[in-house]
Amino acid sequence: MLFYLSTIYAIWLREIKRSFRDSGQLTGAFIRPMLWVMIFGIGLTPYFSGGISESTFVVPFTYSQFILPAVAVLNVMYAAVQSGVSLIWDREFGFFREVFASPAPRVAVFLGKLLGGATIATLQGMLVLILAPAADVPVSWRQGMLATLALFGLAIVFSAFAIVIASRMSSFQGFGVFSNALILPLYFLSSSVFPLDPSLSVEQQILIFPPWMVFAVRVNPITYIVDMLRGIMIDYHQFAPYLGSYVLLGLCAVLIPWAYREFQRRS
Amino acid sequence: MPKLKLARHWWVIGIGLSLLFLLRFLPPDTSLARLRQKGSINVCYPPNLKPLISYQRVGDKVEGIETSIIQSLAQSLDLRINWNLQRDWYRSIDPSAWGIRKGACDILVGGIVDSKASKGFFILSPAHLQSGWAMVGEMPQRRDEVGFWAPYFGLDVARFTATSYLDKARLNPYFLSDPDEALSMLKSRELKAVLTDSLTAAWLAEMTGLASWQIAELPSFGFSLATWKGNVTLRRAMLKSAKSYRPETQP
Repeated sequence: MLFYLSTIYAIWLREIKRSFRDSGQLTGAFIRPMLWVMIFGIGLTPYFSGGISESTFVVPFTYSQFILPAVAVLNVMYAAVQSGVSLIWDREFGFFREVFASPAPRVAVFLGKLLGGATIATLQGMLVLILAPAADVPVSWRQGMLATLALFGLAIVFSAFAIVIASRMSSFQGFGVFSNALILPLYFLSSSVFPLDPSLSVEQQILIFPPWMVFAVRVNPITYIVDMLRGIMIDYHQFAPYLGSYVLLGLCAVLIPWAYREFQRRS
Repeated sequence: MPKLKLARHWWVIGIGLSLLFLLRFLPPDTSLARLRQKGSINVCYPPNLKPLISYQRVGDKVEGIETSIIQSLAQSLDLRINWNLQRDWYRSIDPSAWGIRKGACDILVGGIVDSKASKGFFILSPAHLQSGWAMVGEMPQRRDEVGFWAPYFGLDVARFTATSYLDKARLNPYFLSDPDEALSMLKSRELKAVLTDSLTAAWLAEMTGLASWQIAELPSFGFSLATWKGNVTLRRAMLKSAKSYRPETQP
């Protein structure tokens, strides 16, 4: 058991060290919240603040408050998917050959990688919380803890997904393009930058937004995770409050075994 | 074996974290700066919401419990107050018909309840007055007509709960149009009792000499100051001022 745990720890620490030593990844982690919260959020806030008779959507938040939890999700997604690159790296440069030749159990190596990627992603998501006062979102200790827990759940999901993708890819360039092509649509279609008005039924939403968009937002699992985080941070839900945690647990139940299977077969 | 350092680029982490912390202090809008430049603050209020706030034709002045929070805020910001009477505020049940314009009001005061419904239109200061529901007059019997006065902004759910309370007690609500009507109908005994918020009930009791009692089963609520969404710097100033605010009249 101790050997098992020390293998997880060694691989986890390696992931952490590698991420902390990657200045490009670190710069991205700091720049993203600045761009999205301070420039995009503050820049668009006046356009979403009507008066009494001028309001189109009556929602209990400002645009900066609305976007902050989504930016935390974005930072987690980028960092978690980035952890998949290290898997390609380790496979191409023979690290796995050496590790798998040792008595280290594969499941421990897998868990070390998964938890390492998830830890880095969670830390990067938490960076966004530093900007909470700038977006006028007061975050109590309890809210901070719950938000961190939700971000960690999302980080696990995306780290597992990154392992699935990276296990099937052999080039770094291909992975980079694929991860962008995956993250950005998932992010934009998660009700992250525009709200589907909660006071409207699906039929009414379809009158305002094109039906394909309403459909895409509703089938995107990230929508419910962003919604869960909004519930924690700004006390606002577009969907039933429990949906986010169910979706997160469901994704964990599917993606972790799938990632392990791919990891075993292809690494 | 030499130990690998955790990070090679501590300077990136240092600069990144410092920048994030510094950005927190950048003003996200110009709402407060504009007021300071102008030297005054436009405060919109409804014509008659006694005892919270009301316009007195005699002497052309604004009176009420809620005026003191505005005075305290203006003092802390070193600004003059331009009281801007909104004659149609609370005239109908539809807020969009009240004619309140964004450009005319920096701050709104007058029975704005700290609730999700209010936050749909405004950003709010912490509640400076706590209230609840109370009845004033004589204990009504079944099928009696009871006056109902609670036009407050954002009270929607609580108002519904209160009218349901009257329904359950088999009392017929009579919707009053202003607090002076409540006062005169209580004085003339046209109404046996009035259900309203506890601050107004206390005022009516004082003016009529009738008894008032709290309705404990109905929810309590607080009154806040409101400013428009996006006025974050002004709201921060409101929060700062609210911390040092000591109300002259405690309910």
